[in-house]
Parts: sequence; structure tokens; C-alpha cells
Amino acid sequence: MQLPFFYSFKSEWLKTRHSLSSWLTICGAFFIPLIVLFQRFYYAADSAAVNASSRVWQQLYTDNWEYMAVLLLPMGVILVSSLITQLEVKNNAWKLVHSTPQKLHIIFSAKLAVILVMLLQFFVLFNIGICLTALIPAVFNRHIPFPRQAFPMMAYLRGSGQFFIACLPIVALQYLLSLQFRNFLVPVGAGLGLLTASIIAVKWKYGYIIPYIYGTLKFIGKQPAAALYTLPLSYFCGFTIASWLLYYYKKQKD
Amino acid sequence: MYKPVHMSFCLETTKLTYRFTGQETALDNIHLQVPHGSIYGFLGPNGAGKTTTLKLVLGLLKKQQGHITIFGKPFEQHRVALLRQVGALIESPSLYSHLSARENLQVLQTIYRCPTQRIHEVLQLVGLANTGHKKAGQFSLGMKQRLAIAMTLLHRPALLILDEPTNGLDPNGIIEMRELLKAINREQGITILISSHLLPEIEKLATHIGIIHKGKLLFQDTLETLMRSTQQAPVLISTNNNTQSLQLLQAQGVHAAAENGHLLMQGVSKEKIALINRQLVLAGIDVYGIHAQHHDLEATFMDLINH
Repeated sequence: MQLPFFYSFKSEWLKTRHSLSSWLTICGAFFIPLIVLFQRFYYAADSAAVNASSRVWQQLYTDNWEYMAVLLLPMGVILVSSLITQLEVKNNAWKLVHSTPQKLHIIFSAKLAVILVMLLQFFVLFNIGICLTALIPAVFNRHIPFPRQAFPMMAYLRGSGQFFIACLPIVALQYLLSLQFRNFLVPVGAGLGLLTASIIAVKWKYGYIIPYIYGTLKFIGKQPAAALYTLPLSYFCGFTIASWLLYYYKKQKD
Repeated sequence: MYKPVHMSFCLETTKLTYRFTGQETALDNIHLQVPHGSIYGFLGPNGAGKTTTLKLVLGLLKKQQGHITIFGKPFEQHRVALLRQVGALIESPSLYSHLSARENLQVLQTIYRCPTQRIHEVLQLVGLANTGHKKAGQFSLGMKQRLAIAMTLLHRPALLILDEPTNGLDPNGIIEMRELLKAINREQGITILISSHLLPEIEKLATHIGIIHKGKLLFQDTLETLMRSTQQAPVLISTNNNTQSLQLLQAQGVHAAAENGHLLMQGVSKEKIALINRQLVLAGIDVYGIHAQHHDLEATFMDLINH
């Protein structure tokens, strides 16, 4: 069971080579840090003060996540989750995948695992990007000191982990939609619609029931306790099970 | 419990029936029998049910009625093990257009876990060993088709299922494809099930024929038997008086009709032709010529689907 999954995952990962989804993951991860970096060079005096302060890492974490959490991260997740299955649709390759000697649950879980690993890859690169926004100005501008504060590894890991969990319902629902609809616009349109609804509903008392809202709630830090882990993980499990059943019982697998 | 399975058949379907939602029956009781080591030409006009049959055989469509066995084993219960021995190309080639030929093969090599060296072997076999980093999306249709064939051969399958593999190929590409398929059948003993609506191609390639029309399998046997078993070749007679000759033939109970200044007779034996000739001469009619029309697969095919 484990070996077929490993080979299937490896095969799925090979397909992402030079693909739009992998470029989107890499470029998306460095997009905000790059803007912040330019900003820090431009306002060098402010950057010097921030690097010298004892809250440099918190400040950079907030600066970077501010733009990422509410809009760009969910949008990226919507696009990447849909693009992974679109690789098969666009290349007319579902029939190829389904005529290889792989059990259906292996195919399903390997594809989902690729999306999750890409999401992890995004978080790693994004955090590297944040670190570089602190270090690069200090390397190239002698008036900006290197950060005085030690890098708060655990705090960054915890924060990224919580954002990762906040993204899981989006991954699962987008995966479900993209497995069911061949037209790329359906999952992407539905995803962007739900994301817009979640941004509008952020002040609503019961906004936390919307599965796409958890990244925003995590960033503004006003979510009920259940919205941190329980609700997103429950949505993820629920959507994944529904997605698997719909995929398994699909009459036409080509 | 279903217990069919004639071991001499590489692939066998029994009472295979399929209906698309809200439509008439797409397949009606298909008994497909593909012998080991054969090149089985699965013929039929567009929309006859060829692709639907092949998709059911590969599990790409959910089976509604009937049984499918490959190498003597029921497909549903042994899907993964059987697919390991099958290479398939259904309709247009499935290639990852952003990957090179080698990378496309790597995707499958990882799943089949065959030696890496095999990638080079199949690329050479189909003449794509020098495509380098060129993306499959930039290939010509012929190259795409050849790469798709390479992908089906990568894991050394015992059964190859090809749905219209010559679609879109130029005449040279068609000849190359035919020679390649003949060679792998002859040299590696791979059974090939190939669907097509190109009758001359199948005639030159297949050892066995199945003819499907409107979801029904009309004929299935060797190509030789097909040519023998269908009605005798139509016979053309040229005379100096076709009207009188036609009356005489009809009086003899012969199915004949005037066509382009000749008389065309259907279903007459050699002995009957000699008798008719004598009677025409005795009736004072000059017989200029009697000859059987060449009965090729196309004529046989048209006979079958029209009657």
C-alpha cells in the first residue's frame, strides 16, 4: 500500500515539472517578500530602525502576511488546486492515468498529496522570503544593521502551521470541484466567489462557518477557538471524503 | 457466479451491453473474442460503439451489463494486475504537453517501475530518441502519435489496445505505424486489438476481424473466413441485349439488375454462371464478357452493415 502510493506520488510530482502550478507556487511565495524588500530599500532609514529593534521578526512577519493572508494565499491555493487536475484535463490524460495499474484511492490520494506538498513548499519559500527581506538590505546597505533579535523559529512555524490548516478546507473543496468539472472556470469561479463571500462576511457574527475565511480570521486574530483548528480540519475531512466518494462513483473516468 | 473464459482468448467480453444516460443502447450483447498473438481489427463506422467497447474493457466506463475477461481473469476483480499487462491508446494521444518525450515516459516508468534504460529503447523504436528537451506540445501529430505508442510499449505489455492510432497521420506515417505494429506483433508476440474505420489499413494489418455496427457485433473471425463466408462476389455480364438477358435471368430466379450498361448478378455459384452463359447463348444473345467483381474488405464491410 505504501510503495504504490510513493511511486504514484513521484509520478504525479514529475508532472508538475515546468508546469504553471509549480511556477505559481514559486513566484507566489516570493512575490510579497520582493515587494516588501523594495519597500525596505526605498525607506532605508525606517528599515534600519526596524532591524535594530527587538521586534524585527514580528514586524516583518506582519508586513508580509498582511497582504498574503487575506487575498493572495487563498487565491493561489484556489488556482494551484485546480491546476493540478487541469493537467490531466488539458492534456486529455485522465484516460491514461486510469488505464495505468493503480488503485483509484492511490491516484486520488497521490494527487491530493501533491497539492498539499506544493502548499508546504509555498510556506517554506515564503518564510525564506521573509528572512531575506531582513537580511538582504543589511548586506547591500551598510546603514542597515543585521537583525538584532534572534530568529523566532517556533513562532514562525506555529504561525505558518496555523495558516496551513486555514488553507486546508480550500484545498479540499477546490480539489472536489476540479475533479468533477472539466471546465477550469467552474472550480476557479466557485473558489473566487466563496473567497469574496468570506471577505465580505468577515465582520459577520457567524462568518467563521464559511470554509474560505480561516486565513483572514487567523490574520486579524479574532476568530473563535474552534476556527483555529477544529472547523478547518473538519471541513477538510468532510470535503475530502465527499470528493473521494464522488470520484470513486463517477461513471466516466476518461 | 460467472465462469466463462476460453483460455485461448487474450481478451473476451460476454453480453457486454451499455447505455448512455437518456440515449439508446450504445452496445448490445457484444461478444468480443481476441485470440492470443493476433492482430484483431475492430472495424465499424463512426459512432458504431468501438471506443465505448474499448473504454469498457479498460474500465474507463463503468460496466452496466456483461463480463470482461483479460488473460482469462475477470477484469473487475483483477483490474490493477491486468492493467499491468496492457498498453492502451484511446482516441487522441494523452501526452503532457509541457514535458519532453523522455519526461512523459518517466511519468509512466515510475508507475510501472520498469528499468530506466527502457525509456531509451522505446524512444528509439518509435524514432524519437533525438527529440532532446523539445516539449511534447511542440511535436507534430505524427510524433505525438509515435510517442503515445512508445508510452503503451514502455512496460512490455502482452496486450496492446489501440483506438484509431492512425488518425491524423499522413500516408507515410500510416505505413510506418503499420510496419511498427506488425513488427512488435511478430517479434514480441504482443496481441494487438486495433480499432479503425480505415478498412484498407485493417485489411493490410489484421489477422482477425470484428465488425461492429450500431452497437452490434455483426461478424467476428479471421480475415480469411470473412472474405470466404460472405456471399459470393457479384458477377458482371456484358451482352448485346441487356433487357432480354435480364428477363431471362429473372426467369431463372437469379437476383440481377442492370448497372452502367452491364448486368450485375448477386449470389451465383460458378456452376450457375456456366449455366446462365449457355442459356444466354442458346437464346441468341451475344455474351461479351463475364467477370467477378473484386471483393475486398470494403465491399464485404458494406455488405455486412447494409444487410
